[in-house]
Amino acid sequence: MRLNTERCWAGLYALGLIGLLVFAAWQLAWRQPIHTDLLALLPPEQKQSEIQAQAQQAIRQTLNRQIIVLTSAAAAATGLAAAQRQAQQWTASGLFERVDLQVSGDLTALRKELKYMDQAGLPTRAREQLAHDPQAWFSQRAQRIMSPLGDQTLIPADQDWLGFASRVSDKLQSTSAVHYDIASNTMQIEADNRIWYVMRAQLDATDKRGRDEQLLGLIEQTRQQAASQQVRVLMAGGAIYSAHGKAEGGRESTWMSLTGSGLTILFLLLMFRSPRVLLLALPVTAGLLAGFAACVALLGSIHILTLIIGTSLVGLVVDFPLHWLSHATLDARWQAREAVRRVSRPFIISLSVTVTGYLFLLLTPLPILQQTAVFSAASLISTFLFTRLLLPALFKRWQPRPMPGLVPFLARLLAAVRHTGERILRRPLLALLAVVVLGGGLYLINWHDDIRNWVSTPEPLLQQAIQVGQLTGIEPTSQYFIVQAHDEDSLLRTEQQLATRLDTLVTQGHLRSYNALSQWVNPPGEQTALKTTLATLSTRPADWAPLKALGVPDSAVRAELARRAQQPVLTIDQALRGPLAEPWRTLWLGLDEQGHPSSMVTLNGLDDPTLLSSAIGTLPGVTLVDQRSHINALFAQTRLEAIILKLLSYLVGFLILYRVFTARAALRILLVPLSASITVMSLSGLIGVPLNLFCIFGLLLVTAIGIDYAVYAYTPTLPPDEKMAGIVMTSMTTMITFGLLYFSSTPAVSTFGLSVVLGVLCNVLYTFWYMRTFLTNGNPSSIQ
Amino acid sequence: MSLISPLLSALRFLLLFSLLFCGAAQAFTLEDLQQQLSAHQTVQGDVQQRRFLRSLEQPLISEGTFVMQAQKGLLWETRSPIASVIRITPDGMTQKDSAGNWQPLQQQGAGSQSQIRLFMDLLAGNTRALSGQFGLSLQGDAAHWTLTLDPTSSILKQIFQRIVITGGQTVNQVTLSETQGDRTEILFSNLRLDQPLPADAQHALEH
Repeated sequence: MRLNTERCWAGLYALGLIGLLVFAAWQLAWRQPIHTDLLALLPPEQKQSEIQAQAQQAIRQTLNRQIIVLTSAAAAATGLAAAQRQAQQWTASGLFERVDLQVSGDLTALRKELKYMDQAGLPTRAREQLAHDPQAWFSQRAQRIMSPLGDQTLIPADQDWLGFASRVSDKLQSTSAVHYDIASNTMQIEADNRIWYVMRAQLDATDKRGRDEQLLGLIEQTRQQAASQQVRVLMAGGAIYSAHGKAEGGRESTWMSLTGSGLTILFLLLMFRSPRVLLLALPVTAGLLAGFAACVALLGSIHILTLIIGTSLVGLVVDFPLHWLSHATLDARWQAREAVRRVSRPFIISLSVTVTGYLFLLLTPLPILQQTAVFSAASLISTFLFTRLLLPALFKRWQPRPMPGLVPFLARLLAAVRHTGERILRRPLLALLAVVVLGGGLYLINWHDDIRNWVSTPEPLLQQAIQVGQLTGIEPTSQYFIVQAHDEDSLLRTEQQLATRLDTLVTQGHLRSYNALSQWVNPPGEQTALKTTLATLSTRPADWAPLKALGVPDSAVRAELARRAQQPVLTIDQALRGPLAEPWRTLWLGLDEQGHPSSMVTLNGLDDPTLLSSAIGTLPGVTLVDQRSHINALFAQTRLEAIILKLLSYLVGFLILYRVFTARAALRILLVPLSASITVMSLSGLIGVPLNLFCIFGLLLVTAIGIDYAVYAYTPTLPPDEKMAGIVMTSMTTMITFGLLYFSSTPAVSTFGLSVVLGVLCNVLYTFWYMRTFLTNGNPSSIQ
Repeated sequence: MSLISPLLSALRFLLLFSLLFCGAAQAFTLEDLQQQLSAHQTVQGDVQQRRFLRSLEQPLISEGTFVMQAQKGLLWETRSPIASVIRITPDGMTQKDSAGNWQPLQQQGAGSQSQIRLFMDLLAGNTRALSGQFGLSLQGDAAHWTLTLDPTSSILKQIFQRIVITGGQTVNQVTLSETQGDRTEILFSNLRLDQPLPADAQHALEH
C-alpha cells in the first residue's frame, strides 16, 4: 500500500517535471526570459519617484542603443575610405535603425524647424539686446546681411529680417569637439594632428534574437579590418558592453558548469567506482530546471548573473542524493529504498530550514537576491523530490562497491579535528589567541559594494570608451538633476537658474557641458515678453533705420514684426517635435497626474562629483540624483537588511529545529553555520577581501549547507561512518563547483565563490567538532 | 548639431575661392590657374555686391574694397551703406568693432580651425578640398571666360543652384544662385596685382 502511494507521488512529480520542461522550452522559444541588463538587477526604488524612474529609463535607452565609432588613419584619405567601408558594412548588417557617417541632412526640414523655433528658442541674451538696444541689433543685422563673410543662414534674409534664425543656429553649434567637414561631408574630430571620422549607429529598437552575436561579430570584423589596414578604430556604446557581458557570461557559465560537472563526476566515479553514479545528474538537472522555471514563472525573468550563480548550485543540490548514496561507499549491503527512507527525515528538516532561509531573502528589494532565492528554493525542493521519489527506482538492482580506506581516513580526520579543538580548549592562551585573531579579523572587515563589481568589462573596451569620451567630449555622468515645477514657465525658469550655477562650474573648468530644455526653448513668459517687444518695435521705425539704409522697405520689416508678434507661444511638447530637438527630447519627462511638468538636466564631463551639491546649493524643485552613489548606498542598505533577515532566519531555523529536536540540539546545530559564517567574515577581514552583498548571499548559502551537515550529523539513527562519508563527499562536490566561481571575471561572482568555499570548509570542520560525539561509534546520548 | 554654421561658411569660402582666378587670363586649365595665382603675393581692388531677394523688387547693394595677401589673409571692407571691416587670418575670422578692436566673427567652436585652414588653402590655390563637392567647367577664351561650379553633394545642392564666375584679364563677376531663388552678384573692378598694400591694411593683416 505504502509503495503504491509512493508510486503515485512519483508519477505526479514526474508529470510536474515534464510540465516544467515544457514551460521552460516554451519560454526560451517565444520570449527572451534571460536578461543581461545590469540595471535590471537594481532594486526598484520605493523612495524614488515615478519621475525619477522615468528619467532613468530615458537615460538607459539612449545609452543602450547608441554606438559611436571613431576611425582614423595616418593619412586622412585612408581613414575616410575605411570609415566609408565600415558604414556600408554596418548599414548592410541590418542591425541598425540608422548609421550616420556621411551627412545627408534634409535642409528643407531644418529650414522649417529653424523658422518654427527661431522665436521660442531665441537665446535670452539676444532677446535682452533686442529689447534694450534695438538700434545696435539692426545695425549688426544689416552688416551681416551685406557681408559676404558675415553670417549667412539657411533662411533667406527676406524671411528673417530680424536675424533670429541665425541666433538659433549659432546656439546649435555646441561646444562639442565634433564638427562638420564640408570636403568629406562627414562629422569629424581633430586631435593630436589626426582626423577622426565619426560614425553614429543607432540599434533597432526591437531586440531580435541573435542580435548580440551579430553585433559582436560585426565589431570584431571592423576591428580586424582596421588592424590589417593600419587604421585605428574606437568603438563605444552600451549595447557593446551588454552583448559582450552576455557572451562572456554565457561562455563562463558553460565552461564552469562543464568543468564543475567533469570534476564532480570524476570525484564520484572515484568514490563509488560505478558508472551508475552518473545518474545523479538527473536529480541535479531536475533541480536546475525547476529553479529556472520557477524564477521565470514567479518573477517574469531571470538574469544571466542569477543563472551563473544558480548553475553553481549543482554543488549544493547534489548533496541530497549524495547523502543518500554515501553509505554505499562503506557497505555493500546498501539498499536504495531502505536508505532513502532512512535519510528522508534529516533531509526534510534541513530542507525546511534552508528553504525558509531563502524565502526570507525574498523580502530584500534586490532582484538578484530574490531571483536567486526563488531559483535555489525551487531547485532544492525539486532535487529532494526527485531523490526521494524517482531515484531509488533507478538504483534498485545496483551493487555498491565500498571504497576501502575511506573509513580510516574519516576516522583520522575526525581525530585530527577533535585533537586540535581539545588542544585549544585546554590551553587558555591558545584559545585567547584564537579569539583575538578572530575578533581582529571581524574588526578589519571592509564592507564595500560597487555596482562596477557586478560587471567585467574587459580593459580594452573600457579604454576605448574613455578615449571616445575624451575625443567626442561626450562623457555623460551618472549624476543628473531632476527639475519639477507646477507649470512649464516656472520649470524652465528654474532650469535657467540651475543653468547659471552650472555655467560657473563650466567656466571654472570642472564641468564640460550640460543639457537642459531651457537651452532649446524659452519659458512661455519670456516668449510673451519677446512678443511684446516686437509689437513695440513695430511702432518705432527709427530703430530699424540701418535696414532701411540697406534698401529694405519699411513695409517688409513692419510685416515681419507684425507676423512675429502674432506667433503662438510654444509649449515644451510643441518645441520638441522637430529633428533638431533630438538632443533635448529625452530630457523632457512630461506631466504627472496633477499636470505638473518635470525634466532632467544632464551633465557631461564632470571632474569631481562632490562639487555638485555645494556648487548648486538648494534650488526649490531641483533634485540632484547621483545614480551611482545612490545605488551603492542602496546596496549597503540591502546588505544590512540581508544580515537582519539572516539573523531572523536563524531564529526561525531554531524554532523549526526546536520543534523537531530539543532546544539544546537546535542550538548545537545552529552553532555550526553560525561559527562558520563568523569565521569566514573574520578571514575576509584578515586577508583583506572586502565583503559585499554577494558575500552575504554566500554566507546564507553557507548557513544552509551548515544546517544540512549538522542535522545530518546529529541524526542518531544513522551510522557515524555513513554520516562522515556523506558530509565529506558533499562538501567536496560543493567546494569543486563554488571554487570554480572564484575564477570568474566578474568580481562579485568571484568573491561569492570564495566565501562559499571557505564557509563550506569551516562547516565541515565545525560539524566534526560540535558533533564529534555523534560521529563516533558508541552511545551518543551520553554527552547530551 | 554643429552642422549648420560651418555649412554656411561654405558660401563664404566659395566667394573667396573666386579670388583665386584673379589675373588668370592666359590659363585654360585649372592647374594653370592655380599656379598662376600662387605667383601673386597680393591682390586688391574694389567690389560691389548686389543681393537679389525674391520678395524685393530692388537689390540690396553694398560697396567696398578688399585686400588679399598670400599666407597672411584677407581684409574685406564695406564702405556703404554701413561701414564694416572683416579680417580672415590663420588665427581666425574677426570683425572690427566700433572701438577699433578685432572681435571674433563667430563662436570659436571646434572645427573653426579646420575652416580657417581650408580657407587659407583656397587662398593658396589648393582647391582639391572643394573639388569633391563641385563639378567645375571652364569655357570661353582668354578674353572672355566663364567658370561654372555645379554642386554635387546633396547638402550643397540644397543651398546653391550654381555658382558662375566670369572674367577676362581679371575676374569680373561672381554670381551665386541659391536654390531658394535668391541671387548674389559680386562685381570686381580696379583689380591690382602685386602692388604694395596700404599701410593700415598691411598692419591689420600682420597683427
